[in-house]
Amino acid sequence: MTNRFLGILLLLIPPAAMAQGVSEDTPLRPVTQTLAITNARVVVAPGEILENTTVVIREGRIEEVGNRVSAPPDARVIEGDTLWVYPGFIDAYSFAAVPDSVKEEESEEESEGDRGNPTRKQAGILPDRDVRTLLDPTRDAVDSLRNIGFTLAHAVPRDGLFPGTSALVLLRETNRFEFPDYLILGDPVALIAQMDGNNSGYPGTPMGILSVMRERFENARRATRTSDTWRENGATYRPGFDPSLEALQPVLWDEMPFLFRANNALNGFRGLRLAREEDLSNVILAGIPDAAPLLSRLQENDVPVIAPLALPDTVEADSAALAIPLPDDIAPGPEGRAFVTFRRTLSHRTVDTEKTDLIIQQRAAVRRHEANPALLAASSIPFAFGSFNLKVDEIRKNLFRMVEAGLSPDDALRALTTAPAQLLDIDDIAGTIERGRLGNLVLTTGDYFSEDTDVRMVIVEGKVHEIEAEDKKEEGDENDE
Amino acid sequence: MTNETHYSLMKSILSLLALVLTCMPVLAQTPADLPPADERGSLLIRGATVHTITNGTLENTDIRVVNGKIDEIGTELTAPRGSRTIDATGMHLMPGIIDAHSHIALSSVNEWTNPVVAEVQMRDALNPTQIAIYRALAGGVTTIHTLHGSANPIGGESETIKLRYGTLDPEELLFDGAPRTIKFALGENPTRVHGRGAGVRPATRMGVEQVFREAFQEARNYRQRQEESRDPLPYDPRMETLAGILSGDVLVHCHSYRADEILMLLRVLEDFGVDRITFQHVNEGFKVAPELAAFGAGASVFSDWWSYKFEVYYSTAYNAAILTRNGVRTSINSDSGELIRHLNHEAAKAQRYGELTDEEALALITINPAWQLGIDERVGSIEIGKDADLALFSGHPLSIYSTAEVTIVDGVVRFDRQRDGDDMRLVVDPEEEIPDTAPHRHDDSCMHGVTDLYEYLY
Repeated sequence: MTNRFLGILLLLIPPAAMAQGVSEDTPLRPVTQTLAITNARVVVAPGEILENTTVVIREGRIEEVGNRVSAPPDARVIEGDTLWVYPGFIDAYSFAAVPDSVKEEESEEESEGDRGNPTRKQAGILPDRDVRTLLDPTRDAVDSLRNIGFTLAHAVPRDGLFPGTSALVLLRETNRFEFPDYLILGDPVALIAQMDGNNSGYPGTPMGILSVMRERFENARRATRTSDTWRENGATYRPGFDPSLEALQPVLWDEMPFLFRANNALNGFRGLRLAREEDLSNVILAGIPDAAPLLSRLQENDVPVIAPLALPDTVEADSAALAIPLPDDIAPGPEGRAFVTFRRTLSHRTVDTEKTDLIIQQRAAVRRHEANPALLAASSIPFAFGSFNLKVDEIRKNLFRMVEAGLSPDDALRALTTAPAQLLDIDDIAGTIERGRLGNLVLTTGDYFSEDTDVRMVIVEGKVHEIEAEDKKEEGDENDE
Repeated sequence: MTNETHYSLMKSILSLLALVLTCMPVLAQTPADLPPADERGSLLIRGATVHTITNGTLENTDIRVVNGKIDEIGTELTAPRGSRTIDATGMHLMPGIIDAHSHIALSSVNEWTNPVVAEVQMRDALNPTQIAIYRALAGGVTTIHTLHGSANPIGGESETIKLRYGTLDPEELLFDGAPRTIKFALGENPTRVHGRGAGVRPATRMGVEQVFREAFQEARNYRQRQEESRDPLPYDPRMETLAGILSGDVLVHCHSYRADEILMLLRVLEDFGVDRITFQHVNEGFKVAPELAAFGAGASVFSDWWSYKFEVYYSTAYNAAILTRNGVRTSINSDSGELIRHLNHEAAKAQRYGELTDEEALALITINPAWQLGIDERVGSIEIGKDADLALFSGHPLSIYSTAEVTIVDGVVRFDRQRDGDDMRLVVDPEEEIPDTAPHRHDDSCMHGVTDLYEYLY
């Protein structure tokens, strides 16, 4: 009797896989979906600051902004009296949510193949790869990026000359029972191209890579015409399965931007030339640390730029070298090339002088990189900042260096907010603090571009992330021992 | 010493002293004030000894340049309005030197991953920021043929460029209208890189021959199928370029050493109806000079560089002279960022070894390489209507004592020894390591980029 009773009981217990698994890690159901930040200094857009303003977010979207706005009764209230509020920053070129390249365990077998006739994957020809299928928004890098104010990232696939298409991802933690995939925002953004060759075969050089890109585009152009006709008229050529050609067509038809990543101006010239030859009109150039040589080309062709947040290390120099002022003509300008050219090394006795001069030269080169965003701003070239491979703790430091070198804080903020929003075609839902935009905000203790300011909270689609004040090194702690 | 050389020597010492004593930083050229690459200059060169190459040597002659072209050659000429006059009294003017085999101004030299890479173009790898370009100008060189490396039997398309140093835009170096050229290679380099390196054909010289035959045959088939097919066929840039060789639109330049492989390639070209080729290095060319002359082939040689591998053992410094005397249009090249700085001396060696006349020797670095590159209508001699690419030397260019003083490209002075700046780099790497001693040597050679296959070389 008891056995049967127990049996029935067992049947009534649902299998573990289907249980609503609430564990200690499951986020709590939020008390409210409404948020109000009251009486704060709100930077609604670069250069537009509203005082004593309240921002109301409902269900992840900004509902109201104004100084006569009161917090709705169901809102969680964040008192913003001592706080500044910025639009959530957008990282225009990010790997934070993109897993690292798969290390080549299979490389043994793969490199045994004909290095001159590699597979599509080996050659890096993967324009059909959708980064959304690879994304992992739970990576730690996402948290680090968010902690300094980034709320949205333009996630880009890593490897290959055509690594794939990019996508937008919200940099927040998931809500209760939410899958990380839900953080992916919308459709693929851009088709990426970069000078990343095949490590174990063709194409391994810049000329190899560019000729492959050209050939793929040419055949993508032709593929539309041959693919449907071969069955009807007994043609002898049957097109095969080649998803890379179809993946390139949106770019040829100007339905998707062509984003060329270049690590220096020379590769920038190469990328622009390719775009011109293939008649691509929607082009973005990314990654160039010193864009001065390209300015006129960028202006002629209306090419916006994604500028790296990375900067070369400041040059270590002894006091003698530092005392010598940098030449005047390193001020940003298309012709401004800084070179100290008078340097007579007559003998071994003057070698030290030459070394000092070389150090000055190098400092001037570092200064040019620091002044690059200021130059882009002065030349009216739309640019957004991207983190690329930079470690997150360098980002704010580098922004300060760029501001020091001539970039106005408003232009810097623009490159973090409205410029990437426009570039990525999301200016209707991001980049400013206005009704209808996503509830992406950064709450700081002061002007973001002041070194004393800390980021207190980052709100992404209405979800609040509080940032613990960093444990600063205090003399108190050391004295306690 | 003769009075002339004494005078030149004194002049050199005096100018050196003047330079050191006056130390005028104000006049020194900086990269910022280099003239733009699209400028076509006007100037007057007065009173030089002019080596025209095609019309003899003219004493005490003026050359007038207008908008990048040689406008007039004569005496008592006037400078074009608003332009500079260079007093060339006692100096020698010759056409800008043309180096038919170089690897400078490139980011990368060898797409060594496949034995046939005809689709690749060195135009895509041009690097206008290399200081080697400026140093070449300092040797009187104005035009170079910068090539794909010799790792493959069929390499990529090479590029003929003018040394318009100062621009950061690679396209501004292009020699507009220069014929397309492609790099072939025979012998040990391709057989090592592919045969030994990857176990693929070619591993032997007979394999190299078959690579050519097969490639040409496939190109023929490709063209034929295109013509016969009703529907557009896939575009294959490799086949397109190979077909271009067969139709004469792309000139072959072939790295070669041994007489047997030279004859092999001549036979292959005959079989496929290609009637123009310039052999590069061609150290054993002296053995097959009559055959080369009968074909109408060109030869671009070293003056005296050999024995660095087995296939280059059987060589002679008389190579250039023997080829010239047997009717082969010969040039002397550098294949080196160092030799390019004194090609005038390299040409002079053919006088010591072979007794070429002044004009024959100078032709080795001017009109002959121009012909080999298909640009002899534009450069290579001093004639009215040609491009004003000129090199002004302190003395006779074939003299060991002479240095290039002024180098002019398209009528624009791009090197002036009196105004040579100390640091003419166009791009300074902000993260460079500043060493305490000598800088590293940059290797510009045919095997650039493949020396990590070291076990297969030499």
